[in-house]
Amino acid sequence: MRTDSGSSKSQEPIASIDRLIHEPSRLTIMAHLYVVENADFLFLIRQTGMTWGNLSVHISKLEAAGYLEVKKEFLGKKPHTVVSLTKQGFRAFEAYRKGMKEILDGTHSE
Amino acid sequence: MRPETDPKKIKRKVYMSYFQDGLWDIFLGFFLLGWGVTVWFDLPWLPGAIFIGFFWLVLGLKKKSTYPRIGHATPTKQRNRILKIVIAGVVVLVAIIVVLPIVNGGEIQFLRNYFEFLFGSMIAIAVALIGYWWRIYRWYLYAGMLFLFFVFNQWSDLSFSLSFIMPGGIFTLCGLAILYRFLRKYPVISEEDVDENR
Repeated sequence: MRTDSGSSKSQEPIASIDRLIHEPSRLTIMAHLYVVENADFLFLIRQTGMTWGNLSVHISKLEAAGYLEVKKEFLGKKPHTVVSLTKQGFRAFEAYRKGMKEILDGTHSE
Repeated sequence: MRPETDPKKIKRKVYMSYFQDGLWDIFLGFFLLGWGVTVWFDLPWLPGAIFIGFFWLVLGLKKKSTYPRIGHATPTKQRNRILKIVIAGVVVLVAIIVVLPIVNGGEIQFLRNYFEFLFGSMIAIAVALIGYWWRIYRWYLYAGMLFLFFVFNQWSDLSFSLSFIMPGGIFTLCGLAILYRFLRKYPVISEEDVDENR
């Protein structure tokens, strides 16, 4: 039978998981930006299957956390938004992946 | 929604998306057709002119037609290193097949006797390498088809130029079919239009 201290100890890695990244839509955005230098909005829409509004909301949240850098520019007369991972975002995503791997590996071995 | 988080799978999906338009297939087709015409009419400048002209044309069309439909992402620098390795490999291959007989004054009889076969193999390997690098696996099929045409040519009375023209024509048609499907599947969306409809 597990003790309370044992239970709280086993929950430590889960508690350390970044909830901001853990949300499926934001995780998808982060994962796509992790493999490229930068990407425009349309690219992320096509790749993730999200709607423009949905993507915009999630990107704003990740930008506010300092994980993403958003650059707005004009191509001719048309607006064009380019998004990239910041160093902080890159590190956060790697930490998230590592943390999740540890949790899932731990679950598997139990 | 089940998020895809495996970087390898995402990377593959991202790079594959850039070859949905078939423009590089058309480029390859035209390049081979150029070689065919060169052999037939003895116009040695033609493949180079097609290569340079169409290369810039494809890049321009990508900007004008593909990116407004599927967006654009800048690849990571790591892949640029791999590209350099692949290009170096192709250059070495070309050097071995083309320069070696020249250096030896044509004394290597084997290379002279099987010139069509070796030349075709070299092009087929180059096409397969590009397919590997760009992860467009239909190019393996193209490479195999090219190889077969040249093998057939080596041991038949078929004109050497047809070994370029026939696969070139097939690749061009494939590219056009892919481009047609792409243009129908992905309409142009601009941020301006979305902002207005929001």
